[in-house]
Amino acid sequence: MKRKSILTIIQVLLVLTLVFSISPMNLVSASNQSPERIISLFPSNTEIVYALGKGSKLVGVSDYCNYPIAATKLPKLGGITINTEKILALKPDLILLHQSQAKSHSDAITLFKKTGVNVVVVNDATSFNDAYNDIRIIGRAVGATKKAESVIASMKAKMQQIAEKSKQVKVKRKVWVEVDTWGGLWTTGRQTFMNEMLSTIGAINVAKSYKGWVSLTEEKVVELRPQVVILTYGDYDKDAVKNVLTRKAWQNIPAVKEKKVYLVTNDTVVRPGPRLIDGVEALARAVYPEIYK
Amino acid sequence: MGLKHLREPSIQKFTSKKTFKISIIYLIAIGSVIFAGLFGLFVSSVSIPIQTIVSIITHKMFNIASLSDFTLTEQLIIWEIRLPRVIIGLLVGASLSLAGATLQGLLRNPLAEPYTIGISAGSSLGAVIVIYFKLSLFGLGIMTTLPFVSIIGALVALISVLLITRLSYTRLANETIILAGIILSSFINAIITLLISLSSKEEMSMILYWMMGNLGMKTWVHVWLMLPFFVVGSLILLLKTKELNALSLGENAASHIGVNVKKEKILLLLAATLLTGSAVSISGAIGFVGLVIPHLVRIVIGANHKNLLPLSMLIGGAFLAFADSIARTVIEPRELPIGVITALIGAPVFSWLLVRHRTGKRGLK
Repeated sequence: MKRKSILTIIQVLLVLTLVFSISPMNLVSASNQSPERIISLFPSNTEIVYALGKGSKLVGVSDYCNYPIAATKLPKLGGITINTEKILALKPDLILLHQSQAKSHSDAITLFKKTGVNVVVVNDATSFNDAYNDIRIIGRAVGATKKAESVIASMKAKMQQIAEKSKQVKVKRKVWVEVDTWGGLWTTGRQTFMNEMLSTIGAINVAKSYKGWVSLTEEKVVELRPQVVILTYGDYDKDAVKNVLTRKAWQNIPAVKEKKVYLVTNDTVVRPGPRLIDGVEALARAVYPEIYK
Repeated sequence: MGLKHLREPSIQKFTSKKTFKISIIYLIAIGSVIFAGLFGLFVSSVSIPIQTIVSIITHKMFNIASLSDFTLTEQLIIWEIRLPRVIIGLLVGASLSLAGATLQGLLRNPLAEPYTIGISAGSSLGAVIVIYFKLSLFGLGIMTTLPFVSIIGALVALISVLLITRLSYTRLANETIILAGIILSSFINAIITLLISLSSKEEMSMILYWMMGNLGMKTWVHVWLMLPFFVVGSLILLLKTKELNALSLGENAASHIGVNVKKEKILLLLAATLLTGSAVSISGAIGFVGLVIPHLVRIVIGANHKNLLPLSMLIGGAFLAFADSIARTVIEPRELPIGVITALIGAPVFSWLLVRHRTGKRGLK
């Protein structure tokens, strides 16, 4: 009797640990069969799956997955909330999620696992190394380990090239990155891709003393006197560059005086995927056009 | 903010004493506007010596003092960022508070405020539509198109409320106006929520930030945009304090003393809409000021709109400008949403005043 109750307790504990231990590594299935019906509920995961050549295996994506174009034609399974029924109806054998979704959708994840679907939660990435790790994890999950390594290697090689060229930079330029203008001027501080990109190309992020995503007052930015301004919301606001150039208070900022205000596609500088390289290259060309042609 | 006067039991019997008290309160209110204005100019995320600030402003305004001593950056920060922001803070606070005081008296309801009768919801919907559909009228860009559409939204909301009220009941009864306002607000809020849920992540964050209210990125253009509405709206209200007093006693009483109830009501509502619509269109939906400042002033000065309206304006303006200074300095150079500050400072102060007032009264009896 006593033994039986201890056993039950152990069982309960085991189940609990299973439920709560949604970390990427232990969710990768032991089976070596590569999945045939993949659902990706996060934009960067979707991009990685395509880059690994497994795009044809995707059967559904999130509302926010907008790249590559092929992904936009797949069934949309939700954004902030996810459509569990529709997901299960698609009979996936692998569901890719992001760390930020692990908590908010923990009930759904339990349900998915009950039906025997392999669920892989990819860690949040704030650096290139994190991104390489994510690619590796997804590579393992979709059965494209080798392809993943070659994608990572080519990304690393390109980063290396850029780092080499950055040695030609004599005087580092100060760069202000503007992500959003509503509710203060939002920018990217330390521990963001953009900060790492800027330091790789040999530039100084004027907001590097702040951590993560922060909003600064306009007067602070004017005081920082950046030499180059990078805007990431050009896809949304067609007049973005013009608006910055005509800001009255900014007329004495070198970047505005010399009209060095440029657009960079947001998705290439925030999504931890293969397109980060496009982002770095675009940033490099904007900040040091004479070095990175 | 006239706190001291509250402690003194108001047992002045002589009118001369009363006028004295009132003029002191006016002085304090004007003083707090000046204090809030200067505080907003002097204290901010970039520190610039007070002397420099004063010289720059006197030069720009009266062309005195020489500017060669100061860097262009300092001049731009003071003249193009800080001063317009402080002025917008004063105008928005004054508008919301004045509109709130009017609506509370007019509708004879202590919970009435610019947000209850749907004006602010209409204004918000206008703004959200601009953000969602990326409207840019006459090549003005999203940022400048927004206030225009937003004010139109406020007016459309008022007309709808009056129409609903009118159709249901010919008399424009207060309760019906409030009910219609609440119905309209929830309808509009549903549309806003619908647009938010249909929008992309970027648009969503813009809309949410806009709705939280913010005085950042304001320029002289916004000041000039808002000023005509402010002047017209507040002039109408300040000239109509007698009618408002009569209406706040009840409609029968008002019509007995010869007030054209329906006409005055519509005029007062329209003026309150101009004020609220222009304020919300510039700064987003900032809560608390329109509801609570009029009550606070009423506790101190009484319900006579002759004093209540101008004092609400002054105190509301000072309060919002001060709250904005806090919002941009407390974790400088980062910014907090101003609505957070108005409620965080406002609610405890108001509760304290309320308690003091009530216990004071009981003590007297």
